[in-house]
Amino acid sequence: MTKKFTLTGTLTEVEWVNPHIAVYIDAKKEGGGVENWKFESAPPSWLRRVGVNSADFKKAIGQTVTVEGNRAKDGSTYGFLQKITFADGNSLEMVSPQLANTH
Amino acid sequence: MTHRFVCAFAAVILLAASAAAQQNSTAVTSNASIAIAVHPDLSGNWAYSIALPGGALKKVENGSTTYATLDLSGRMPAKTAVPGALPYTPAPSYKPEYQEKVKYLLDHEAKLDKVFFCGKPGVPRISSPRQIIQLPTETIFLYEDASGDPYRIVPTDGRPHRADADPSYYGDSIGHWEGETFVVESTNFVEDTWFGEGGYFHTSAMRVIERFWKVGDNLAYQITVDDPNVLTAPWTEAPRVIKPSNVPLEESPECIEDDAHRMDNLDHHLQR
Repeated sequence: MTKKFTLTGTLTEVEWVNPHIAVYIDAKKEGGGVENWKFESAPPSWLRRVGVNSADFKKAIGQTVTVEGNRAKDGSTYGFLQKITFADGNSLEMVSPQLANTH
Repeated sequence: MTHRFVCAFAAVILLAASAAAQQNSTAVTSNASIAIAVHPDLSGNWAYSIALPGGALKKVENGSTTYATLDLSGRMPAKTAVPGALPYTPAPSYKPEYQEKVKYLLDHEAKLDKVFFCGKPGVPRISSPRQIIQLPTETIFLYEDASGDPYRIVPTDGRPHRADADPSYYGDSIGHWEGETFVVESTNFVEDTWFGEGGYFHTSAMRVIERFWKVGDNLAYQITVDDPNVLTAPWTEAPRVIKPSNVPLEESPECIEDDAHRMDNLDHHLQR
């Protein structure tokens, strides 16, 4: 997975599972229609230890979200989520510890 | 040491022959005329020390930005000398005929390491417990792990290893005190696990010694692994220092891994 990209759509489902959580997003397809995307992210135990729980994601189900991350190389509707921006403008983003330490 | 744990070994041994009498061990413990051994109390919650990816979380909420980082100190070798630690080496010494296999496993860990596919890490890879409950005749270890939340019950009443147990991921453990150090010896393992992320395979002959001792308010943890079938000598790893935690244990969510075939790299998390 190397292609960085951004996708906006409706958050349809959150799987709070090991080893990585997953979010599903309905996004408009080129040429019409909607397709469901899956994005994996960090382990739940990782997110819990930086103060995030499942409700922080699940409260946005049904709302428009924008995800940034990497798309699968095979071109499927799958990717790795590095940042999610919710409809209210709030966001969660995985960054390097070096970046965090400079703040 | 703010808490001391009084363990009446002598009393327990005297009473071991009689189950009925053993029920009265609490009363006997308070008898000042018997010999008692005083050990540090390792009971309590300890920081999560199982491997997690590094990184930090940037959170933007109502216009303000905060950063949260993980304290990974408990999973890393201690950065400074730890009082009471044994001498250690960076890696185990495999017999020459097995070195190629270890390298192959390491180079292909993203595909071959069962821990990345919800497999049980086993002892010693599970690392130090999230909670320790130290009782007079046994010590209980509780863990949080993606594969499930294992527990271990370590008898400390002088009994030998079980003769009839099936091999398992967490082995058969017995514990004793050497001075201020709690020493747990585990044997009778299945061969499915690695004893370290570096492709450290083993056979059912593996024997693991875990040492626990207090350094101030922290818990020091150090393992020694021996497997005469594949190692040239027992391997002692660098000690870890684990901080106390006030975070209650939580049940780990179900583990479902079905996307690993998408990984292009053979090195999980690109850690090397």
